[in-house]
Amino acid sequence: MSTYVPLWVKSNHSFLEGASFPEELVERAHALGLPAVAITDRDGVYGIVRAQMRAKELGVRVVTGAQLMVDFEGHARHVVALAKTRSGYANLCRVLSRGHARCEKGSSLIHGEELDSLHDLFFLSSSPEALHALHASHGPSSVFALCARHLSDHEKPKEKALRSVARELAVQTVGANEVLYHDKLRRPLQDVLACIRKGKVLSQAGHTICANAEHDLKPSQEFERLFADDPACLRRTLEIAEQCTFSLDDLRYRYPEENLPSGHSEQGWLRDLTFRGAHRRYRGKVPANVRTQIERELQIIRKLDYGGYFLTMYEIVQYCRQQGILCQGRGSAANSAVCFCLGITAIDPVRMDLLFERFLSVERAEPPDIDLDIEHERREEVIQHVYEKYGRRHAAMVANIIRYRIRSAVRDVGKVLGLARTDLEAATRLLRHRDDAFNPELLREAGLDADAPATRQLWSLASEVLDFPRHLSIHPGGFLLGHRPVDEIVPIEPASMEARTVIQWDKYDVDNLALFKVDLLGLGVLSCIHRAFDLLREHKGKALEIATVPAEDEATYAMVSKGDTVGVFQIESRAQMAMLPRLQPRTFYDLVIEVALVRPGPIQGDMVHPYLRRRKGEEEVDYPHPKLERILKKTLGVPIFQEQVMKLAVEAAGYTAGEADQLRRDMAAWRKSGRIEKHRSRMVPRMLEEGIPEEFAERVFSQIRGFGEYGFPESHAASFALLAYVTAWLRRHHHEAFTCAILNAQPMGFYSPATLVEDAKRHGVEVRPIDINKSQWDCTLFPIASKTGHGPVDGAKRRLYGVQMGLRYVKGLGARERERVEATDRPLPNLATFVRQAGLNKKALHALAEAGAFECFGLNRRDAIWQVRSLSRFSQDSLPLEPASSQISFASLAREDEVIWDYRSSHHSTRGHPMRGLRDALRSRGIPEASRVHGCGHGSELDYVGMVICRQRPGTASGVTFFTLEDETGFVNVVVWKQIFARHALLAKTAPLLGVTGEIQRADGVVHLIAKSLWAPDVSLAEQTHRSRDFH
Amino acid sequence: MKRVSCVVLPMLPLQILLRKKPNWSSAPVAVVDDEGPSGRISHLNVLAKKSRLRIGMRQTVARDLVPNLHTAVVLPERVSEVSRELIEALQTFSPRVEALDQDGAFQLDPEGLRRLYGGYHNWASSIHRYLRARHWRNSVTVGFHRQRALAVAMVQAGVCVSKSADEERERSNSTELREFNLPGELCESLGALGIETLGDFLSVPAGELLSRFGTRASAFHDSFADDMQLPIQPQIFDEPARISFQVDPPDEDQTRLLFAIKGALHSLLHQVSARGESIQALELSLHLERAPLHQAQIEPASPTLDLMLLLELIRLRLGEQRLQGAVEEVEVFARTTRTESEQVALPGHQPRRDMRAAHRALDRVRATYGEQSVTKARLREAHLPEASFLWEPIQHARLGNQSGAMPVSSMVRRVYARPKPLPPRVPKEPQAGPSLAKDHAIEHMYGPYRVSGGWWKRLVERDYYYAETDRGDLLWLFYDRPRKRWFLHGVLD
Repeated sequence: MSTYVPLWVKSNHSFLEGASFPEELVERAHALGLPAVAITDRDGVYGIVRAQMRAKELGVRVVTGAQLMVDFEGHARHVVALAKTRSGYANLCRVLSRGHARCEKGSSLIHGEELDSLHDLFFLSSSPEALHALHASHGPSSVFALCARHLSDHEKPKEKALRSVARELAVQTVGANEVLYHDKLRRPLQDVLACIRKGKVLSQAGHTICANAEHDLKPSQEFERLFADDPACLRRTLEIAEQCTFSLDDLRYRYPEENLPSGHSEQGWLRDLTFRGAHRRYRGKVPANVRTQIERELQIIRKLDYGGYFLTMYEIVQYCRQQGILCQGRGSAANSAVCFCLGITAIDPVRMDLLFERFLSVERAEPPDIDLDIEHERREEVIQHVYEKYGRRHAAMVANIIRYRIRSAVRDVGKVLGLARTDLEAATRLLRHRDDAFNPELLREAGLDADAPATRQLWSLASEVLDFPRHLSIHPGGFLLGHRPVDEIVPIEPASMEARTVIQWDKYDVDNLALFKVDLLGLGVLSCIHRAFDLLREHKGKALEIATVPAEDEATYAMVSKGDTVGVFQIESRAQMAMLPRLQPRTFYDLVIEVALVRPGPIQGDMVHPYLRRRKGEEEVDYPHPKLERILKKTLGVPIFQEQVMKLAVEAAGYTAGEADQLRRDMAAWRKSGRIEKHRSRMVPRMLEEGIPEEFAERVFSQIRGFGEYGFPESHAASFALLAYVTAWLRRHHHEAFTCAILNAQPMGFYSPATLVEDAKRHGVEVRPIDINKSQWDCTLFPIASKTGHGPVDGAKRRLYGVQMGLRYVKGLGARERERVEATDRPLPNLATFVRQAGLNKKALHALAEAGAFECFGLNRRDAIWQVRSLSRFSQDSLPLEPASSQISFASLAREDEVIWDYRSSHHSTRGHPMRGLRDALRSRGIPEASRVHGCGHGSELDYVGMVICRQRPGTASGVTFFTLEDETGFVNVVVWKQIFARHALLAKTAPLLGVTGEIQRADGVVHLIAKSLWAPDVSLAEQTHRSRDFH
Repeated sequence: MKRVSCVVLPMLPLQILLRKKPNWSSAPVAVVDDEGPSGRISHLNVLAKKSRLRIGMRQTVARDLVPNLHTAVVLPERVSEVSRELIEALQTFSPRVEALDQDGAFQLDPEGLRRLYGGYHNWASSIHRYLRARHWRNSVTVGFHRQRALAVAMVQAGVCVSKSADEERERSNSTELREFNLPGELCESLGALGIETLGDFLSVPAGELLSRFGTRASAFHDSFADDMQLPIQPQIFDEPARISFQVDPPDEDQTRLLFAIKGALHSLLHQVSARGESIQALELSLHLERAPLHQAQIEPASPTLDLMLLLELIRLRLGEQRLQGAVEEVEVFARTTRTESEQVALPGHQPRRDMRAAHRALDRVRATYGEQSVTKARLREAHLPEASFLWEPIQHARLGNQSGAMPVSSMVRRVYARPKPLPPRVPKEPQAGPSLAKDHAIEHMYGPYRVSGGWWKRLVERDYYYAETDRGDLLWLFYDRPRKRWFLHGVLD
């Protein structure tokens, strides 16, 4: 029979202080036979959800509280507050929110008088001042003198003084130690964390660390011995815990009500809007099966009382429409016909045969999860709209808890141990491209003495601190909305980003408590599509929306099937480009498969090749078990989508709905070590029992593991495939508008602006250089006179428009410069007039001159630089200037230098490709260009030289690095095996211009150059022109 | 025409580093400006350059590219120190040596030395050889214009003697602007115009440069004009204040020695006083007959020119020690400092306590018992009692700040510098309690108070107790858990 309950316990969610996970503390309390344990994190309730979840499993009760920092007449004192009831918990959250609001990120200070009106809380303090103040406001029944005994010599006189005050006030005492770890073995880690927090090294830690290891969770007998002189103060801990009846299960969450038109109920209004939307979507003829599906969904929504959530999403989407912001729902919401009809998603789930239960089910009764993608440049507008509409107390963003990964662990722990920063830097560098696991050998490689005690300590402590929370950050777009103020559910803190507030729980906590989350995510491609639609409307009079882009266009699929997809959303990467000619997509569903197929999940599960073989008819479509046919039919017997894996678990491994749902959560819990692995022992034997071959069972499990990293559900793939199709269609039929739009939506996508410009030029798009008299801030379209129009490319019609590069591409110009240039009365007659009108500083003028923007005034770039350096002194003068007279004139740049200057000043060149200048020299050495490489036969050996635009080493490729090299005629994909890369590591990692000797591998129309050696071409051009996209 | 000379030790910080770490010379090496990950590279050796590393690159990026890269910081103080040593060395070749703004660049006046060395080339070669023999990479030029001579030295390896001003001009014109100590931004801006070398730069009219590139460019341009040449500003010889004399015949009588030292000290003080300085410390070296050199350092509490005070301190120091042989020669070296004037206190405003008298007293204690004999306790933040304070030598006594003083505890502990082990008992458990000497026993124990830590170095785990003996003594004991023994750490008043 336990004689006490630990009432002052801080988990590792008291960042850089507590040294045990909340779960570990609960498990230890359970093992010690304690009836309850309080979790009182510093200034918050950060760890309470995790503790509560584990406690439920073990049958331990968790008392909810927090350690507050309270200011009593200018003296900051600790007070432990424990919630008795739901109302007490709400009070605690509110006061913590106020405390955080007035402090810098990561700290809180509550004013003593703010505690006066807080009821239903117990207050424990070891400070006589706090005791006096709390007693005055709350009386003796809710206030306790906290006697802590950590065997420290200064505690005794303090306790004596405290007891004397307690007697004077008739306040009762309780015995509670400050628990920082569940086991004494964690003491070194706690010392390290304390030092990290204070920025000290251990050897000079002083009183930053605790005097001894007495901050553990102690067994009853030991605690009884400590308080043998006052057993009553331990009994009181039991009484307090008994009276603290609040549990997180008491959180009665209600979604905020939307403003409804008079005479409508929530459900009725939702039904109205849905059917109105259905009429619009199906042009007045709603098919019967759609109608049935909508009715079914509405019934489930009504049953679960989720109507408000759908109306909120509808309202946000409507707001985006009104503001001209492109948005689209993705994720499992795309399984819902209601979402489709409300305009939240763009995929017709009935036509796609998507399963609504994946989104919502009565059995699961989980809140729906709708992710809304919004144009990335305008997402903040939508976020601020949500704050404005619901109010700061009813809406706050979900936190993202930043945890220790291997590199941050080594860096922080090493610093505390006093290791040389240069050595630590070397070690962390080595860790960069390795798995997220700790290998002590790396420390040796970094030059650390592996046998030295400090190195051993670094190894063991860095391993121990992995996954520990370090600090709170903000989720990319998750909002928690509440009918009642959110700060009654969880404290709200100001985020480091201006005008944002964040709750103390992350998305896993929110999920675990079944709270409603609205995800507003930024997506660059939506900005690109929006801009392209605007250009088409403005220049070609075409009014398009995502939904009205012509479907199933053959020409678009033909282009995609060739792997000609630079800039096309989701299918532009090297791996996707290599897959497209093999898959030969001809329908929208093929694109859905393409999007989902080239992912770590299917690749790791070795699903790609079987699917391709079956698609080409080279392998018979069969099913490992007859009952799997229904699940796998759409994908020719090969599981590709996340839902299929879940259904497999149910059908083939006998998973219950709950287990399958847990599997989905574990797949979603990205990189949570061990959470997916536990399914292996459950799933594989059960599949074998069902008569499914072991090889298939193992493959399915490998895929599940892969999904743990990145996996797509079918609905999500479909949402992305739609955007892929739209961008592909734009690229195929309006390449100039597409290029212009994507250049204006940068940064986004896979390729640099230079590659996008080169690609457009190769497809016959005329791209004109930056010109101060013609360029706007953004890139624009200009009409091409018929005789200068480029000839047809790939059978396309003659282009009527070209792209005029915008001033946004001049390095060094920003919003201020934009404003000033746009205020000038262009076109202008000469440089002096421009300088006077724009009033730009010398740096900006120099940047424009360097980019060749003043060539329209008949000045070469050097002359322009010379002139602006002089003229800039008079830029603020209101009197007109005469052009400066100078006797000096500079030579014009050579063609190759112009290209280099373009890259240096604007990251691209419209005047030519840097490789063009080398072509003659390369040709004389028999080195072919990319277009000729693609014509070479399988097995032929050749040398090739190109600019490196991308280096990739996918985790699924066993150390193989893929290079994409570019020249003026196109790309060459180079495969570099691990040994070859290691042999030429420096060159491979750094060279902007690379020579490759290798062998052509040609399969299904896809050409790869398999490198045998890498070399540096003896040409110096292009050194400074290019930055590649590396190792993503 | 007057000649000038320039000595350049290229990449001096890197050379300093490689002399300190000779085994690094076969690996890529970089000097960085900060040890941390964002420290930037300031100098690179050839191997590092071949590895595609560049000046200005962050250390973290460089290490990513070249995992076996060696990096270190060379502090500016160290570079200055080496520069001073180099100036001293170069002063043996010319009395007029000036350190230029650029690290490792020195201007020398070769005038009048040609005949001594048999020509400028020989003179320059002997400097080059001298430095090379000491493993300094260097180049030496003799020319006509100080800036152009520097420009030539930066690009010409070894020794280069220009025969005419035109020849020097031609050679220097090819020097790249980046070699000079010019701001990188200026070099880049000029480079954009195709102005890469000194010759390109000097061909631009100075007036046009000022309006476009500012005063730095214009001043640099002007510095090459013949009529703007500055004369050399040589480093002044910094001669130490020292005096020595022979004792003949050798003598070991301290009184006679002191009398002799007094005379020497008198002239040394005269010498120091004439420089407007005072004596901070004296280093006394006594060369003994058939015995090793005897050295002593005497440091008064404050810089002084008081002969009798210094003599008294020497007397006290020598009086404590027995010399191992007769003294043959005495050397006295004085560390000096600028004399600071002090305001005379008004009558009636003197402090109650005479701190000068306190300083004199402490000087005498130090002179008698050694420099480490006067110490004070400095409190430190630590849990382990013996780590919570530190005895450190002090030079000056200071009046305590009464208002900020800690209240005196009623239980003042006399802490043993080394805890005294108490006789072992069986069983070796804390419950068994400590055992004292035979004639008394412990009546009460209060505790334990636990102190543990130091796991990263040497684990300490102690349970402290206050013990009351039958005699009424209060002891401060601890049980050392790893060693399983009791220790007496102090007593209480």
